[in-house]
Amino acid sequence: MEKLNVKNQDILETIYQLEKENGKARLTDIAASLGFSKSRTNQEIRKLVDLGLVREDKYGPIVLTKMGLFEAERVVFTHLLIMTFLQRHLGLDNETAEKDACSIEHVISEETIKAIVRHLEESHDNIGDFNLKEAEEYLVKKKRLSELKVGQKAQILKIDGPKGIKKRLMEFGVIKGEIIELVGTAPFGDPLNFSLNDFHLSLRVKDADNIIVELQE
Amino acid sequence: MEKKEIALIGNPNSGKTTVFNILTGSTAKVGNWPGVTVEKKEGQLLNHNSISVVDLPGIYSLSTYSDDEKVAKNHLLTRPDIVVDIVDASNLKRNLYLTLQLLEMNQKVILALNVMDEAKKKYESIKVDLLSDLLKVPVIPMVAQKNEGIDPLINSILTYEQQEHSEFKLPYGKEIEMEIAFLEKLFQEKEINIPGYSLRMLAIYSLEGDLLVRTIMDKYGLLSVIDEKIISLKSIFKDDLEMIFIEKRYGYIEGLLKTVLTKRKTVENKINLSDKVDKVVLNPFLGIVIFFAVMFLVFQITFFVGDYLKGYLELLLEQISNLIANIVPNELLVSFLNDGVLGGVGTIITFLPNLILMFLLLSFLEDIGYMSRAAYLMDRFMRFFGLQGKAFIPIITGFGCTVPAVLAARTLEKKADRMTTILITPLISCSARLPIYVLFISAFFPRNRGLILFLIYIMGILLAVIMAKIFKKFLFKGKSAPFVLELPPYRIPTLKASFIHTWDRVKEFLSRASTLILAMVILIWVLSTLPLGVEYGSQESIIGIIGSFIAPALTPLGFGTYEAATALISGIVAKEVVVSTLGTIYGADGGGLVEVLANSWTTLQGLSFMVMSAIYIPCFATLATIKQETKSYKWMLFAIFYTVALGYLVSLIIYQGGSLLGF
Repeated sequence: MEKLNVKNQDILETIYQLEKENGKARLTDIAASLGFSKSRTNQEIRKLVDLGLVREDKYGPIVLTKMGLFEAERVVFTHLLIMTFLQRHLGLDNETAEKDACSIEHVISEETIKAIVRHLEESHDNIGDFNLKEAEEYLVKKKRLSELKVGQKAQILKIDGPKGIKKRLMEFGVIKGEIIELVGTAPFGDPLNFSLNDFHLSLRVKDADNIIVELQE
Repeated sequence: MEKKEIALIGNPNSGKTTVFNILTGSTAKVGNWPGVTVEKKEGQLLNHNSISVVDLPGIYSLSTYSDDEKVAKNHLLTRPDIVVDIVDASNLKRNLYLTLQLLEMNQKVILALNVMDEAKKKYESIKVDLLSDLLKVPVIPMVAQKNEGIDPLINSILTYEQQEHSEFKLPYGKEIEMEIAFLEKLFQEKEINIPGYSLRMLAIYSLEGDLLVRTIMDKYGLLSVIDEKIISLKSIFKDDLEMIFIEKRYGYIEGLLKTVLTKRKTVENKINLSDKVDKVVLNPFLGIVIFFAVMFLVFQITFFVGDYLKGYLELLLEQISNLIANIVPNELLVSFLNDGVLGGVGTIITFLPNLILMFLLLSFLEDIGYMSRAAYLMDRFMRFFGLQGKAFIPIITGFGCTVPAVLAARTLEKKADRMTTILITPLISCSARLPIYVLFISAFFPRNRGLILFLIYIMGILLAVIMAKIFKKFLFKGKSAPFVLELPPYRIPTLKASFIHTWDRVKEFLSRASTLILAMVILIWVLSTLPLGVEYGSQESIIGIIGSFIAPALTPLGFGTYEAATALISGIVAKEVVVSTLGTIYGADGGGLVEVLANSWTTLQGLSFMVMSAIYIPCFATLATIKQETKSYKWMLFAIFYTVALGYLVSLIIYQGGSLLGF
């Protein structure tokens, strides 16, 4: 899928925080905490609905889908990781660290994340409430199936997306716990060729987006 | 001996067709099943005429998403006497999913474990007897390609009745089983008895949300009770119930395989020959090169070798036609036999070499496992058409001839894709249109021949893309199933199978499309000949009168003349007839005709006419094929209507736009 932009990520993060603090995220609260107008927030949320990250029940709160939760957690963990690094290792004050983490979290590469995790590990540090193992799992190991590189193997954790496609995939044997490997990609990088159990399966990137996997060593 | 029916079912690529061919010999006939475009074939068990064998479409599950699945499921609900489930033993896990669904339907299953040779390379051993005990069905190991295991299978079919059939129950765990039991009891109290379904089956299908069962339950007023159960179970499992059922079934298979299979062999290098080939064939760059090379070969063989053979057939027809002219005394009868009957038969016969070769090549590519790879490679590209990768083949075939192109659309599994492809292939310029292009380009664009020719082909492709998008959006919307494509291991097909497959299809074309083609050709002959005594196809003949009648309607396009209109009408027989009709009317051919046209038409008129003849009604043979493949006159009429409307529109834009710009 297309990379999420800063705004997408900020809104996901906000919904995540609100769900955690209040149990649910309402449009008014999201708008207030981002400092956006209600109509603009609504517009941005439409986009997330289209991406399958957020569900909006009529007159109900705004809810993260499995994929939405996954993307939100990625941002939240990245944020915490950077915060910890800036505060404890570079000695920055809370406010500056918070502000910079908010910007860095959107652009940081996987390599840098890995390096920070390694560095923190060496100094036996933790990030906030989470331990490093968990952080590493979230930020390095957990991926969308579409993000695998050729030759990488991963274990299927969750399947989301429209019911029809999900059912089709599962009946093909794409279910929790199975090991799946990206064997290759077609011209222009889509569709993808996976090997699963005893057969080869080709999926479009759009459908592989809806599957969360954990990288295997 | 009493009549018995055996249904063959299995995943695609499990070797089902091979088994069917062996079991029935070549007694198979393609059944005429109205209303569905998916084939199921029927034949008799060799040496046992009272036992019929029905070959159901290859499917992965019975969840009724695609037409194939619907056909298979509906047939299974008629309760065949025995269901032979062909299972690829080298890919047991996924294949057994369908088996479980069959067992849950309470079908009388014989499990045919095919491809045992490859399975033995993967596993130390497969405990066949244990599998049979656990599933409570006969299990027959076999290698269909090498004819191994066929006799035991036939034996098992013949002796099946004597065995006791016990109901298979897959345990779904305490929570779900409680609700199943509750529903079973409820159904029993309400005395619900639906032929084809057991109570447990009804309960499971209800919980899974099966649409057909839901409508039944609605009639009994039980939907709210069922939905209540679904919601309460959903809250326990925190997922859709259908998905839980799938997971439970796979969980069961997992357990089953743990006891039945003994450890995977580590020597993987031999197994993965297929993967090695794919490293090259599916390489993003090389793969494309190979794909185009393969397509080029298919195209060349189909049309060049085909046309070579066609030449002989045409020669033969000419001889017959001369013979008729010499023997038959009545001139009108000669004309009827030669222009009408022989013309019609000739049209059909001259298609045959192309068709046979194309079917042979395509079924070979399909059987060897290349077709799904082609679909994989071209998928991204074909999305411009809103179609999936396999649609590339009909479209490229369309450059040669539209008839095989429409027939090639059969390889598309999804009805929406198939219908869209069938309807747009006539827009791709076939080789019969080339003589028209050559004539008009020579007359009006002598200095830009190549460019104009190229542009007219491009126009066809662009229109096909646009129409595909429109059809997908408005006619067949939301009917596309997700793109989940298996890339099966390469297998060497038996030539015999390819020949049987090809013969089936040719036979079908001959018996269905040919009568329609013949009727239409004779109709045009009648219109061109009557009233008696006029010159064939002249202004005084009925066709000429019709031509004069519709000519005014063509005036906005720049060619509102009787000559142009008549040429277009007779061109429906076959596109190249446009050229010969113009020749007859103007009394000139070859270079003479070019000169006459260049002098009597303006360039803009010529261009407009050429565009119209590229787009409008393909030809009788294509129309008859569309009728055959869509099994409806409605779609044939639709193809006529939309191509005429589209041609009219494009020509109108060209002529009026050109006039405005002062050309």
